[in-house]
Amino acid sequence: MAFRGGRGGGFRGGRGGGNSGAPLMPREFDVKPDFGPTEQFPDYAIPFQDPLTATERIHIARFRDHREKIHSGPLYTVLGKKRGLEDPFEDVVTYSSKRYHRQKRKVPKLDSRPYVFEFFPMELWETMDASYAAGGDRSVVLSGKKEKKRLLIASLNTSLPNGGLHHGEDSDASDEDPDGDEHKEKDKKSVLAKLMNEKDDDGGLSGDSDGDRDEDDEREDDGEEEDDYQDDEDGDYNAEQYFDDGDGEVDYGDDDGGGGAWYD
Amino acid sequence: MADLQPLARTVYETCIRDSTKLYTSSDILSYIPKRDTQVLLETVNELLGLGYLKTLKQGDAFVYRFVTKDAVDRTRTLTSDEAMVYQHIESSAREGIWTKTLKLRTNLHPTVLQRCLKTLEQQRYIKSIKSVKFPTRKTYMLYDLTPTIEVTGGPWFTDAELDADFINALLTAVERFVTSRSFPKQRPGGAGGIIPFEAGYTGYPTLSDITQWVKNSNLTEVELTEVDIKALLDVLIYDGKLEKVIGGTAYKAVKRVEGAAKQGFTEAPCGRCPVFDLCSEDGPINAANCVYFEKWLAEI
Amino acid sequence: MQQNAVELCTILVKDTYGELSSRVVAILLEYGRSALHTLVRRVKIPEKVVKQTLVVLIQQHLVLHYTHDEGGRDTTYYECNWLQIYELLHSGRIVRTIEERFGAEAAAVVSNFLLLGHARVSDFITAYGISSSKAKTAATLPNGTAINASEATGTAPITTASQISKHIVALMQEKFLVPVQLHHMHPTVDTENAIRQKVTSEQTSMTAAMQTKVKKAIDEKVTEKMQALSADVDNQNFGLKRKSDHQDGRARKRTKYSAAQGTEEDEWEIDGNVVLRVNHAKFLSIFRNEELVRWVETRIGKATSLVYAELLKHLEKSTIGRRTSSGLVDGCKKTVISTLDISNTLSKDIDLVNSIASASSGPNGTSQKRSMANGGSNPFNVEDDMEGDSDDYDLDADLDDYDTPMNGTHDLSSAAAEKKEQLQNIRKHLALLAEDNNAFVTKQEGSMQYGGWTVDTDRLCKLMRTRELEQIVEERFGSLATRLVRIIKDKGKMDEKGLADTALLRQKDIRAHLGILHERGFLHIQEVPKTAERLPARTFYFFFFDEQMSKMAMLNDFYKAMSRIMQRIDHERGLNSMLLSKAERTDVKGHEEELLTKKELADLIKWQRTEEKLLGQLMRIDRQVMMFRDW
Repeated sequence: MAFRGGRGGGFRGGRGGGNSGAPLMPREFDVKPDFGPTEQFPDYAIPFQDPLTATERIHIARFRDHREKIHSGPLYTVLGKKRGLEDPFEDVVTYSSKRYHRQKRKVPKLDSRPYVFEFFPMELWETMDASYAAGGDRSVVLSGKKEKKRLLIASLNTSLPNGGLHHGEDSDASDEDPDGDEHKEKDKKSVLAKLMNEKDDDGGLSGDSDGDRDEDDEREDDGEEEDDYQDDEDGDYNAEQYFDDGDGEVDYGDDDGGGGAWYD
Repeated sequence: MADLQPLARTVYETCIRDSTKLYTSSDILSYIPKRDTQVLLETVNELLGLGYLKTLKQGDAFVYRFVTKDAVDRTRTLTSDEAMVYQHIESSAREGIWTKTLKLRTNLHPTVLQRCLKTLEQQRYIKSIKSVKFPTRKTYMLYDLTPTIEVTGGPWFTDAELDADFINALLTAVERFVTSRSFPKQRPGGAGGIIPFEAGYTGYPTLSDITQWVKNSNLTEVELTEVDIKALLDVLIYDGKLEKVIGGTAYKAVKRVEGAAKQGFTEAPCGRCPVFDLCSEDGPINAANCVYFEKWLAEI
Repeated sequence: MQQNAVELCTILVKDTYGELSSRVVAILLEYGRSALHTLVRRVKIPEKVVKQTLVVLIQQHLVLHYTHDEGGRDTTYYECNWLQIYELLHSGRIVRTIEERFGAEAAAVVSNFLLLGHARVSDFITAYGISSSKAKTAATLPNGTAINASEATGTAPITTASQISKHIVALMQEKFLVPVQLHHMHPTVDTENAIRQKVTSEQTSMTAAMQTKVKKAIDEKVTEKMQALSADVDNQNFGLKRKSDHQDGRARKRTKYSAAQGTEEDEWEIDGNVVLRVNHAKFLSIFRNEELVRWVETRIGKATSLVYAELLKHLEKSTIGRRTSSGLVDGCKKTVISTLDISNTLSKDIDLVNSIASASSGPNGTSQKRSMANGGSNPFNVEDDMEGDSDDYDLDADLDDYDTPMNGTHDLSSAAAEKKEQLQNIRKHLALLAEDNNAFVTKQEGSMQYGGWTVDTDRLCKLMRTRELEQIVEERFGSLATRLVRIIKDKGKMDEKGLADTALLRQKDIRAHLGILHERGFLHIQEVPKTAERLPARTFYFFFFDEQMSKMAMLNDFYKAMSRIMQRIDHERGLNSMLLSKAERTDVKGHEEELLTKKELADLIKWQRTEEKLLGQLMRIDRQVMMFRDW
């Protein structure tokens, strides 16, 4: 508020109701302190959303698909839930369900693709490709594994957000309605078609990635303990621990078992 | 007038025919036999003394104005205080005079002044008016005068109060009129809503068209000039309802399409949220516990 | 950078790339540019992991870096590119835009470049070559009709390397994809400093007197070199090379393909060494144009907006799209689009005739038409009077004989006559656009038959912003508040009384409005004391409007509202976490109906709708952000 300086209520009171004096003065601006209890969320007319247009819904669908691809790709990281915070009833991970769960990374997987090294500062070169010596001197390429790397290519989900979501409104009503079954069936199908398309994406991943995935899956199969640290040996670290205590002395190069003992 | 000498009475009766005219002493001299300045002096003094004549100053010269008989009678019945108050009010003419100024000029005690004003008002010699410029001041003016436009504020004011209802009614009417002239008649069976006139169309109403229309309509008895109508049109332009076209010479309604603008911010729960400023991620008001989001999302 | 923008960017990175990336970004945004060791200390993550995260962020252009020589030791500094982080919001719309214009295959290419950040063309094509045997692309017609992926299997075209190259060439020529240069990885200020240093060192010893002159010369040279850096991209075929005569087998095959197409573009092929990325600024231009079209639709009408959209599409072909300190720049020169260009590509389905009323259908039924004697089709458009005579005749004849058979066309074939009529109809819509108070197009004099048109997007965006701001004021504070804001903008500084007089409102009625507008940063107050004591009672208060400050206040609110929406999505996701992790299971995906309970299925749909609604609102605010910040 701009009109705070020296304009307390007492001042105005002295002027007999403040009705005389400069009419220019926007005196109504004064804060009127309200010492009474106020609600945390006072009532107000909450606006309505103008229904989304078809175009907007397509944009959203593409946005979600794109994000989904990143999430299932090598760069997305999730720091696991801390032990003790899981719901003991709901979060029980059985062997059979676990093998189907999406793998969660605690560190990005970097070694699967080729890089344009000159676009990166040298101090990161070794991180990008272990075959570079520390310091990034390109001439000192360490011997050893130098397998061919390829980019991950995904196909595009071009389905339109058709009835899938919004026709569903009808199906809400028809849930108890036996006559609505056929309708409902169709609605479900369209949701499923959408989800199936997403599945196709996975199929569209390039050969190398498929290979990686297969390998990952295998590891998931035998790894009873923990599948978070399977990216590569560099990725094995216990991220949450660091964030919690910020103690740099903890050995993040722990083996799988060690990490898994603490985190889901 | 019986109190006047014959000569003075003749002069008065001749000159009062034009009560608004200002007379110089040479003007009055022409009514004096033999243009005797000594007689003139006596006559003028007599008239002044009995209140039939008033001295005014115009530039460096003194001029005189004759006072109507009514006014003379009036002053005659007043006490000297009342007469003094009356004279000050009279001198303020159509502008009126603020009580505070009056008190200053007359140097009367407030209660005395109040009593004088009350008497004068009861006698219908003066009236209290409301000035648009100073709506809170108590202002007085002679009973039979009409306040100037500065005091009344023009056609938009009723009793020095802006007549919002009157203005809004006019705004709506003018907007409707301009809108009716801005778009072609809906084609029978024609789809696709309102279509525009082709480029170069000149049938849009001008200021004088609109003024004329308001005059001919029976919207109001108040006389509205083009200046007044223009003020209305300006407001409609500021409201985004009309715009000027054809080089600013004519007016056209802005097409309004319901729901055309997809509101981002203002249709989000945050847009008009009363506690928006208090909302923070780790605060007591946040996106997760927000009841407005709850209600907003309930409409799925 | 505003605090609310920092919050939003952090959330966006978390939502897209996960927690590690967002932690690093949060620290970089909070502390500004940092060296690796400082960053490691602040972010409390092991160095190895910070490095890995930085690789991700640099690869995605979300972090810029620059290595300084500091006393013989190189130190690399990292800096967040927050505008690029904001662009994460646009991925869906970008992909869809390409899908609509170039089809699904090209959209997939762009989508992949978005996923990859940047990639060398040869690597990209190789990767496609491998995956093309497997990848089946769900086909979509350019108009958006999707062929269901499962139906399309078998008939769906296999994306070959040559087809991918063809798409890339097309996308490069229209600057949807642009070559990445080293300086794109560096903060602009560092690039400029480096150039300045070099230019300065080139200047030989100077006297003190010369210094100011030299300084100016250096400034000019630096500006020049900075412009030269971006000038490469301006070249239409930058990053492409003309096909050589000596072709290997694969290239020849492509020649065959291009011969069938017979288009000019196919003479170009990609330099495999070029590294490409998506040009986000170009998309900003396109989004802006879409907004302009929407505006025309509400102001004038659907048909006119479609003509306008077509005109803008032609303009977009040569739009380069670059973000500069002064805003979004389309390209170096003004492009004139001819009516003929528009007519060649405009859909024939648009009813151009019945979407404009002739003068004779005036509201009174009587002819309101003015005389056309002076030959100008429009006396208020100066350019019109300067156009060629024959051109004038065409339009006038057309306007005059609106619905009677045209004179002088009997000797033309019916196709030619039809074409001519279409041209004239298009011109009528363009004339409407030109005549509008906003001047959506400007007619260009010249020899172009049926006229040429330009669009002054800068000016239009300014008007659009004003309009949006006023709309927001109206939505938030009511129509009286809008009236007051418009008056203040129109008249400059005003006191309460003057405002009330102009607005035809009582002073006491406007006071509360002024108060709230001031509080929310839309209006500002200048205090002019009447006396030396500066008593509030003896002070004039003048209200004024500062567009820049209002814009910043608005943007700040927008960012905050967007953050809240994202946080709410996160909250809703958390409520459904069990269900969502079940639905994400590889064995459940695609078999929801069998494996999820009825309730789970209903909840899943409800969650999707919830997220869609929230994301939809987010995108609508994004539109306003672009309007206030980018356009």
